[in-house]
Amino acid sequence: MAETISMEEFRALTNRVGLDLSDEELEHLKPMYEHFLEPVARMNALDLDVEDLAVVFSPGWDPEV
Amino acid sequence: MTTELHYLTIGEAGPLLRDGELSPVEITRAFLDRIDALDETLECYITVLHDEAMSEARRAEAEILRGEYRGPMHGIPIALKDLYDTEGVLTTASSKVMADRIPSEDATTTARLRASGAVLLGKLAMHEFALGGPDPSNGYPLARNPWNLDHIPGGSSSGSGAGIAAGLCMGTLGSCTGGSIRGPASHCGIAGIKATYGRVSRYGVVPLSWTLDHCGPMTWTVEDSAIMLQVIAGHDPKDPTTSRAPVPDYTASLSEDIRGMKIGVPRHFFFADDPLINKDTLSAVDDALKTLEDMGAHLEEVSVPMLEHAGAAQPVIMLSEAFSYHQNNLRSNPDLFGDMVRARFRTGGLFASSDYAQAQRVRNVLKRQFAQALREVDVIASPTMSNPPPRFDETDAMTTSRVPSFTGPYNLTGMPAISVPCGFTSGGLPVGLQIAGKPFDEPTVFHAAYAYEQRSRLFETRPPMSELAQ
Repeated sequence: MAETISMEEFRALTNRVGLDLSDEELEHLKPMYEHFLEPVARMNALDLDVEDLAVVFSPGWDPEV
Repeated sequence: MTTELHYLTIGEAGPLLRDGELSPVEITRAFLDRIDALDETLECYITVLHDEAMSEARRAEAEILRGEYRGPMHGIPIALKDLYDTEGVLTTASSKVMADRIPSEDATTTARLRASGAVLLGKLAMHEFALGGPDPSNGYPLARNPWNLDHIPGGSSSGSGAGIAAGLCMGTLGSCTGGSIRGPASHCGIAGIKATYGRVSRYGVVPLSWTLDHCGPMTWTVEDSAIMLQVIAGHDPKDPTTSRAPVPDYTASLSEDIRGMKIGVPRHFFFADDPLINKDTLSAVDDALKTLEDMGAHLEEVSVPMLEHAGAAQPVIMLSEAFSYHQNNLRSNPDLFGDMVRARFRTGGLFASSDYAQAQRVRNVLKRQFAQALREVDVIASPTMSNPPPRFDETDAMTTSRVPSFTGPYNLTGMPAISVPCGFTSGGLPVGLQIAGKPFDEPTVFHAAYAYEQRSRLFETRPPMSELAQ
């Protein structure tokens, strides 16, 4: 993930999740999104072990409960 | 013991109420009078329940007189953050989205407090949907820090922190997704504990992020937090994430003797040479650690390398889950949200699914690393917050994201964590010591915090309220 994003790409990103934003709203929101780009990119670059799961179900999990 | 009713602690008032030396009606009226006198300035309350509170107080008084004493919360005046459902009482989460919402049922925690005999004074201000920040654009009370009205009390449980410090209620419940109990506790010089994930029901509590949300008490003393947690802890059939593990006697753990206790300190993260971490804060917490060592505890440096990525994983999970919950309103009624929370929620929709999955994997590694550290030590200590509370005019939607979060890691791991006051900055703003423990080991967390609190005696110092009382 890059540390900046073009306004065109940012508009496409917001449209994709159904946010119909004005130019002014996009200008306001973009710095907040970009704030997270660098730390999220570093997090995604971590080479985690295959056993490091995203979700763990307890062995006692009862789908009826 | 103080002679001012509004500054009595739960631990002090309980025996007086039980023995008939203090009337629930008398103490409830004292709190309502104080709210009437000060809350126009402090803005802690969204709703004040004058008539209902007096009615509950009269009922408590009659029960106690009949010998039907329910326990240490009977007749205690409390208030709740305005995201705890209260049957028949407005519950807004401080948002126009829920401006007219009146629940038909109590949250489980609300019901348990009512069953304990507590008297509900009202509903407390908070940051919108437990995230937004002190945002004038949403039209709800902002809550001010009683130690300095120009500063925020922290959030999102802003009214809870300020209300306890100012003596506007005796106990409250906050909610915590990234630090919303411990943060305002630290900033307002009070105690606040986020119990282990699964220890307290979240049924009937407006969610922010299902896998990170926790509930817990905020009070003036550690003892009071233990008393309140005792009432609300335990399995709830209405909340499938609650644990069936037995609930221990929390007040039994409140000993001043911590000789031999091992306290881990991940200095590489919490005491890093980082210009974004406030030096007064580190100095106050270092002094607190020395005090604990003087009391016979052993300090050990521990390493938790994945803490470096907690600051990315926590907001990705929190904002993604928040967007999932709010997305329909964000698309169809965006103007109902305040400016701050609308922007942050929208950001949550922009992360990739792979970001969310990676954040959950990082979370599991972080849990494992903390578990390894806690094989060597009993608790882990650090500053609660990396910085003192900012001024209102320095605050925007990104304020909390610009500085390191020292509380968020424990929302990721689900470990119990408390904040207890440990001093002041040179500007007179409170600093908190954070103590975290093993899952479901709240007793050891309370033990360490109580011992420090009794040695430091900081609970004897209240905010300078004289200017407000005039």
